Amino acid sequence: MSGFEELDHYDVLEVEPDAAPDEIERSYRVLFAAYESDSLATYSMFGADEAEQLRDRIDQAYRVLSDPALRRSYDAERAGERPEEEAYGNEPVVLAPLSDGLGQPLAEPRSRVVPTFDQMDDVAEAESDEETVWDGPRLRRARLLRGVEVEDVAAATKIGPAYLRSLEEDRFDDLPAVVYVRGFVAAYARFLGLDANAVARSYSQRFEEHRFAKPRGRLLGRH
Amino acid sequence: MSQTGDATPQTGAHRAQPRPYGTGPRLVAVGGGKGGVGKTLVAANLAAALAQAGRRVVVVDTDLEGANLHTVLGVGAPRASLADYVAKRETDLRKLLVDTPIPGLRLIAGTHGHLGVPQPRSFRRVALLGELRKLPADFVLVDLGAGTHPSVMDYFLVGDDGILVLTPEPTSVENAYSFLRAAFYRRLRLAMTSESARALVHQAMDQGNERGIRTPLDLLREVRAIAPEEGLRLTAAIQGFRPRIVVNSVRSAEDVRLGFAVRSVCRKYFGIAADYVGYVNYDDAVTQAIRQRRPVVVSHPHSDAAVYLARIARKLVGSNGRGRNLRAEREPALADSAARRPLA
Repeated sequence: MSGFEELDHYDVLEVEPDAAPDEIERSYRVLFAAYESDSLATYSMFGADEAEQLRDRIDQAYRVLSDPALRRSYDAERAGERPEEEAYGNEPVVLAPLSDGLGQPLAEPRSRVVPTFDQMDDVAEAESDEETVWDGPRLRRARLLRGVEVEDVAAATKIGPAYLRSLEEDRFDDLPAVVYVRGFVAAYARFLGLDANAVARSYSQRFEEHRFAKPRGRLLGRH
Repeated sequence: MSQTGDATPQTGAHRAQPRPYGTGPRLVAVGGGKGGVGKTLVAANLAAALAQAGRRVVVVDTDLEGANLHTVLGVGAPRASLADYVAKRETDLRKLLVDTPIPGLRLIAGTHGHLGVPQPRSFRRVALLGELRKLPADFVLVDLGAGTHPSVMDYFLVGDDGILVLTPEPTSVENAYSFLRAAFYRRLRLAMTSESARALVHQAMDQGNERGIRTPLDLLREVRAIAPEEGLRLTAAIQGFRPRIVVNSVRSAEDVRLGFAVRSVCRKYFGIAADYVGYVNYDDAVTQAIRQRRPVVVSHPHSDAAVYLARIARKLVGSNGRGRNLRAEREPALADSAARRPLA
């Protein structure tokens, strides 16, 4: 018998019983990756069977807790009360079905909410400072903080990964005209949940300084 | 840290909260099982960052076989070292303190050229740990050697914080778990008062034991069966064990997520609430800093690695007060519930 099945859905997803939906989403994303079959973090601690049981449990917990109606019923059941809806009909509380246990993949996270890892929230606060100068490395740090790959940003913003890397590495000469760069940065920042205007303004200011400094330098050199 | 402008007040604000061992310095052990994962890097830079933030810091190199913390901090071969204390040539730890180029940071070096210095024996270790708590400092950081020798474990266990450093490589992750397992069971064994309960913990450490104890929960059941009050002590020992995870040499977002995955394994396997306190990215600045024999937070304060290390130092300071990452205090049932693992 599996001990994991005795665990509370909230324990399984490692969240508090009052967790907000985005917290549940975030935790599920982390666990989804942690218990994948070739996961670096788990292969040496859990056997293949155990890992699969865990995946099933995590999946089941997520299905219930990410669905507002199922979660309400579950919470009511957990609190030892009967859910209000049940007072009307005789429908028993139906929990989400378990996966067939044959290595069926976990459900994809429902939304593309970009998680801000709670562990790092002090930095997230620092990010919102209006005075912050946004350069490439800071953008990259903001991305890593959210556990997002360049490819994820590229897919969501339709900006080529090569441009994104140039942005992150401040390789201004590899970037197109100012107007495009401003748009790139704004889209990138928006995807990360940052203040798109502030970030784009700050970044393009540095970019423009670089662009316009160069010809001037060349002219001066000629004189 | 100081350059970010949010340095905490220079008074010992962290003393506002009572600590289990009185009002001495906060003892932070930095370990991780495997050699070369960056324990010394993390210890040296956290110490430097805390000193930059105005704390009085002592960093201690307990790696008697491969001591090189002094080099990382830019201190020449020290005349006195911890080896002298272990060998009882010196009885006063304070006399081993050496200044470093970083204001507010002093060092107790590991060894100076003696080969085959043994780890301190049990009694000497207890004396040493007591002395560390009497050092005139706000923070004492202890850089641990590799492996799972009992002396290494004891520094990790008696510390107010035990930092577990790992890198995103299978060898490092495996060794980090071996280290955790050794620390975990040693802690539980030391918490037991009866010989029979201690024997059970000892058996549980052997994964192939005859009693079929595979998990912390199995162990708890067995211990409860022979002595309920020992069961309570065991639960308390599990709950009080809160390693702090640092992932070093991070190159991608996937590497960043490793820390969360390891935290989850701590919870689901051991039933303990570990904290993921941060990561340090792979950065050429670190290599350059080592060549310059300066901590990267001093030599390249704006490099990624320095920014991340300073962030971990800030979390360390913050977590001692009303830190939001002290989650387990709100989850007294955690160890019990999360330890409900299947019988393998």
